[in-house]
Amino acid sequence: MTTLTKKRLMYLSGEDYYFFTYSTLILLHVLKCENGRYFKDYRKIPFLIDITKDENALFILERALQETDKLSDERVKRKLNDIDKEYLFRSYSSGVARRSEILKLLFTLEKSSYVSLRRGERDFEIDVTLNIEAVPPDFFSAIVFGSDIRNIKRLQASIKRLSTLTLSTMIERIYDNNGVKTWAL
Amino acid sequence: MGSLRINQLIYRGDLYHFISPIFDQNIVLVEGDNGTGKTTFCNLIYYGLGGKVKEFSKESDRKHTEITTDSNNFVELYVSISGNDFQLRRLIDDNDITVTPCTNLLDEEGQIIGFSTVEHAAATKILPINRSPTNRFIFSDWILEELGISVVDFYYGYTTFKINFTELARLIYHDQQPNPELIFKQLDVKTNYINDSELLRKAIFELLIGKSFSDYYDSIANAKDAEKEKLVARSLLTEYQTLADQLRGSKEVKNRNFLEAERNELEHQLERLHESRRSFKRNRTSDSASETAIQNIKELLMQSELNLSSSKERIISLFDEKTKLVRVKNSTAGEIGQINKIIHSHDQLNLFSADTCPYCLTKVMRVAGHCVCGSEIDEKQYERFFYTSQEYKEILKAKTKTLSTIEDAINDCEAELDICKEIINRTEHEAIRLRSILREKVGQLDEQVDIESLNDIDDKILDVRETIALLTQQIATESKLEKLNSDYELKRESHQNAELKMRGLENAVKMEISAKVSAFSVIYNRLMTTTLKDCRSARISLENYLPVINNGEYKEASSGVSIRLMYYLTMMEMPLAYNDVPFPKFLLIDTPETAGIELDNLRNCIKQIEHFNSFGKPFQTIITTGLKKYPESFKKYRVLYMANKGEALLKSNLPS
Repeated sequence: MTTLTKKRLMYLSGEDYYFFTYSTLILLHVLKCENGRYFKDYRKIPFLIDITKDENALFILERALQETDKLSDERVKRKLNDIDKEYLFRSYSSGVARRSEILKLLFTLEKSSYVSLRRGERDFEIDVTLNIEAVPPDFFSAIVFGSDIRNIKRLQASIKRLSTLTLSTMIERIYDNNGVKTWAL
Repeated sequence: MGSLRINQLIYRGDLYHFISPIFDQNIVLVEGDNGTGKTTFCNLIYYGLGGKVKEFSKESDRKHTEITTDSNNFVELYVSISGNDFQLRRLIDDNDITVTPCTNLLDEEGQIIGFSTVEHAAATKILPINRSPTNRFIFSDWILEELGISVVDFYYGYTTFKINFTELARLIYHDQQPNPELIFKQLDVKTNYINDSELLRKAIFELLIGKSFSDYYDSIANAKDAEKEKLVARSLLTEYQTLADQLRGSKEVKNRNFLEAERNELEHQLERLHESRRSFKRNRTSDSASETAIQNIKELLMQSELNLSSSKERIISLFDEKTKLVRVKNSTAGEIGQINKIIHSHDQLNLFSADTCPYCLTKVMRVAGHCVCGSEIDEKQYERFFYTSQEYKEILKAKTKTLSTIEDAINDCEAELDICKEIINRTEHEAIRLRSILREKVGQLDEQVDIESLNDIDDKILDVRETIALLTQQIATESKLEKLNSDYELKRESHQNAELKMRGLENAVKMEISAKVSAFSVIYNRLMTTTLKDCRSARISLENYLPVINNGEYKEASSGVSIRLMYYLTMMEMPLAYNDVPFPKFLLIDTPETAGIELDNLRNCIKQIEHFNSFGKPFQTIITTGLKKYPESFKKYRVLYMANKGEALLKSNLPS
């Protein structure tokens, strides 16, 4: 077996650092966290990447949030069916697992000047902003990333102030309110 | 013939008592002054034998004060009836008599000294005095049975009653009677004229004197009963005859034999009809061609159903497969899109290379032929975590090829789905067609059976069955008729026999009574001419058995006592002189002088009683008289002497 064949078989596009890279850059770009406008708390990024990469997760969340909005009493948690709940839970656990990789990537991107980082309001909080000038002008091609941009905008429409929300509020809105069991981060 | 003898009379109450001596003798004389209780003595005996005594009733105008004011009082008689000994006990104002067999205790000379009922207590009977629907066997029936006198039904007009002991006692108990010419003791209670009819009095005389009269009266009763039964049987027969006629309707009369023959014929016909019906059914099952065709179609249908089922299973699995393939295709397409973006990012940003540290992601200044860790490696075999543009393109190419392969598989799957759908469609149509053929075949099978003929047979069977049922009913009716008829014949015959027997007995009775009346007249004549000086001849009439003195010309009123007393004495002498006279050889005579008679004459009359001793047969005459109003020779018979009221019959229980 050739080395190439081996590498090809071992390749997982969802684990590729470039996947996390472009996802993070597009997220910051669409949320307009550029040139000193900081995206609050990097820990939200892996959850958002996971949801926006997947039409299904996004669809479940959109429908769930619509239903929740209709209910006047916020304490009433919408009951998702078990399969949808499981889907969301997988997104949650993947988001938790990717945190350190995202942090590592952010430091690399900072070195390359694509992003700037700063300490957040609380411990463990690191805010991110995209240095748009450092990114090659053809990078954010709508032809290439059309679906990703669309997905982020859809999520943005469902959950307001994505860039400024605290991690816990976001987790609550996306997972807790839909009956997904989470744990303290 | 039977006999009656009183051995002792006892009266006990809370206030008074009387215990007579034991008088086991033929002639018993009770002497007493007026008002000492002679009549009470007789009445107590009569009461103890079931008679009704007005004076003992609390409601009576002439009530006996001591007895009616006493309480818990009763009469006890020790009697011998036709050689058997009994204790009879009757409570005053009560209508039952307790009969207990007893043993007479005798002394060395054979004289009775007492009675014992102890060993017979179990045989005690309580017998009612009055007859009623619930009391069929009464005291009278018992005592008459013991005396050997039949209990006969007496027919008078339309009514019938049994002649009881108290009726017969009208010629046994010579009570005090203001009008002795009537001879018979007055009735205890006169309820209607029948009770005292001449016919009844004649019957009493006949029953006591004639041996065949019991039989004769029995035969009358039997004849009447047989006639009644005959009439019932005849009315039943007539009734049933009408019913049978109605059942038969307009059909001609047929007897049972003809009806049974007809029914047998019809039963055979029914058998034949059933047989032809069975053969119809056999015809149907023997049509094997249609059966086989139907069987074949059924098998084809079954096969097509099985095919359909397996095709449906296949289509489900194909859909499942297609869904999985589409899912893989989508995920592969997604991956291809991602790889494209990754390639774009790599080209634009060029962030990672083979010299990027997998831990810190910074660029490593690596020596050629060595890993980032410093180990020697074959550069070609060095597996890195990062890929070159070329490598990414190769991966993309492979993924694209995979996608195309998946699409091919999906297309194959779809083609197979189409085929499968087509098969299902075809199979379903085939099943519909087979079903329709099957229906047609089954329809044809029914048409082959000749329903019309079968219906005809069924109708005929029903008709025959109905006729058989009707015949069976008629046969039952005829059988019943036959039975009723033979029953009627039997009853008619037994009635005829009873009538004949009655007629036969009637003649015998007539002859007997004629002889008995002659014999009675001889004795009566002797007694009368002996005791009445102006009596030249005395006899009794054959018509009413009443005395005719001097051929009916004798009208002396003062001779009434003699006429009556001698009549009773003749009654008594008859069974002593002739063996075939049922009279129980017992007379109870209460103070005969009361009706007014010269003393000598009276003594002479009473003296005639002694004549009975000459027959050498046991008998008993109990007579009460006033003080010294009896022949001197009778003193030896005296068992009780009540000289004045101080020695009255009933003794107070209080110490004097």
